[in-house]
Amino acid sequence: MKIQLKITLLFTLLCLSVIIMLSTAIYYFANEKAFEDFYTRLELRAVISSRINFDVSDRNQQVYEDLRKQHLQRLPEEEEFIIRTDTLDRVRTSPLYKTAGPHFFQDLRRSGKASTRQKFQFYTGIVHQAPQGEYFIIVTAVHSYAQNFLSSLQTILISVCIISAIVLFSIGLLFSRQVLSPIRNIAKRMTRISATSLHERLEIPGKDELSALASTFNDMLSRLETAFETQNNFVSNASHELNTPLTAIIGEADLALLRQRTPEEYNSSLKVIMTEAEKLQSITRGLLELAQSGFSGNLVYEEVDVEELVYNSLRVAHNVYPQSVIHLDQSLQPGHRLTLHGNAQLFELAISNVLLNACKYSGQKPVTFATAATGKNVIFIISDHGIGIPEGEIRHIFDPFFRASNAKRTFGYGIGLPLALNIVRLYKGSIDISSKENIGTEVIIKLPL
Amino acid sequence: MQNILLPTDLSLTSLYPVHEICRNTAGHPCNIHLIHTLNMPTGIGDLLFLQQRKPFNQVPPQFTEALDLLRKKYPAAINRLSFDFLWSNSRVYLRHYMESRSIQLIYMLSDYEYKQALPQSASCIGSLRRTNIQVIPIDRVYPGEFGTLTTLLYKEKIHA
Repeated sequence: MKIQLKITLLFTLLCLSVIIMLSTAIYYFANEKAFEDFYTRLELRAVISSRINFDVSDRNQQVYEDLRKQHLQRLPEEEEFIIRTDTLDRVRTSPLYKTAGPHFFQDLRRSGKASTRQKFQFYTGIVHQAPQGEYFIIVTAVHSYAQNFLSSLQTILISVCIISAIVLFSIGLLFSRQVLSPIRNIAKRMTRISATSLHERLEIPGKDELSALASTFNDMLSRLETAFETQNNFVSNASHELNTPLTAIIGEADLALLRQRTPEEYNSSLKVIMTEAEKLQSITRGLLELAQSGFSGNLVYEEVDVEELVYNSLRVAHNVYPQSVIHLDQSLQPGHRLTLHGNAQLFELAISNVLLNACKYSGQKPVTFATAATGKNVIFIISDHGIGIPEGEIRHIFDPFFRASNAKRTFGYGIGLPLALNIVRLYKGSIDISSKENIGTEVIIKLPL
Repeated sequence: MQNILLPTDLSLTSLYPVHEICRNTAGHPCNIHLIHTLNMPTGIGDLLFLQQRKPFNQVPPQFTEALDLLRKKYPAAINRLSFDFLWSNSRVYLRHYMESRSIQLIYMLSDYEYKQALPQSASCIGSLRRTNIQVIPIDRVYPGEFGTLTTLLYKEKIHA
């Protein structure tokens, strides 16, 4: 069922149920309480009847009789019953006793006055103490006005409920359409956005929940746009990086084949081709590692000794940059042995890539490599006093093949940091970088214990 | 057991003296009481709705992480490393606080400008220096403003 119809039905049912309850209450209370005055009228007739029948003076009896005839309207099916209380047993089988009910007579005896009704037949009784004895004087009549009134009221209330149902359903339909129209607009606009039109955004009128939804969609579109852009940049950067050594190889080979050359010239060309081919191999290996590190299936989990990891990473860094000065700082390292759960080779790859960057960009200045631990993570701190990263470029530093503007003179492919990030994220860790241009860079790698 | 007070401006730099404390009290575990003083609000509304936990929500996560890190580094030297917000920086208030905690020493960084970490922060350095409890100044080289955890790394020598 559509949400619009659900809202309409819910709205209609809720309002209609309130109307029905109200109508029921009106009818009930009208039925119970609206005819108190009729009892009073019956009681008056009972009192007059007692005067007529039991007053000591004949003259008074006649006055009461005249009063009744002239001023008291005869009620529909009005009847009078005068019953001696000590003869009540004889009345038990009578229609009066059966319709009025034993409770009526019990209340009459107990309280001296009682009233009851059966549908529209009203009964009122009083107890009269006459010289001859005690008498029940009961007057009964049909309240035809009540009958008509309640019948009309019932008809009106039922009609009102039916008409209300129709009106409420219509209003509910309009109301739900109005409320859901912004969602329909969002859906309509979203269908127009595709891979080639990711720059489009939703309009955000107002400051309500729907504008928050539109804002969230816009954020998602921005991230998608960035991801697509990054992917495009990656493809163009990768192509460029792969193309450069290939161009050098082809160019060198072309040059060598142009004419006959000396063995030394051929040797030199082959060496250049070899160097460029090795660069190409290095790039493709890095790309493969990057691709594999993004794959999260079948992760290896083994116990990795942190101290061994640190020393292996240091060894890799010293092999590549033997002139570099790396200071191993143990001032925050806990006294006990630390272990991680993961793949030792991948961790070594991640940490050594960051360490190699620090060594590469800090020249001869010392690099600090420290380890620490909290209750949840092992922390690797690698800081240098090198060229730093320009502030506006830090957010791109993990993009594949991205090179900071001040790093272009230094050799590199821009694969190391994205590779490290992928590996760390695979094992639910994190990498944070803080840097200031020409002052230095600090990289903090956290891996969960 | 020694009780030592260390004022902090919620920066990792201000936690550096913990290294010196642990080295100086080697073999004898100590309790380190880190404090950060705040100004008591003066408005009736602010006072009525003053919540003890509110400033704790503003403590940077790196600071909390650094405390955990230091506890792991010096488990034998540190019996207890606690952190409190104090709602005044007056001498009397600080004196009562230190008496209640039996503070015997105060460590602080020398030649360091303690920052105002929160809008309601108040410096207690002046008041602490005027107390009758021994204040031990710690010298260190500040490695620059780009690093976070690097500022917490301990350097043996005092550099000019």
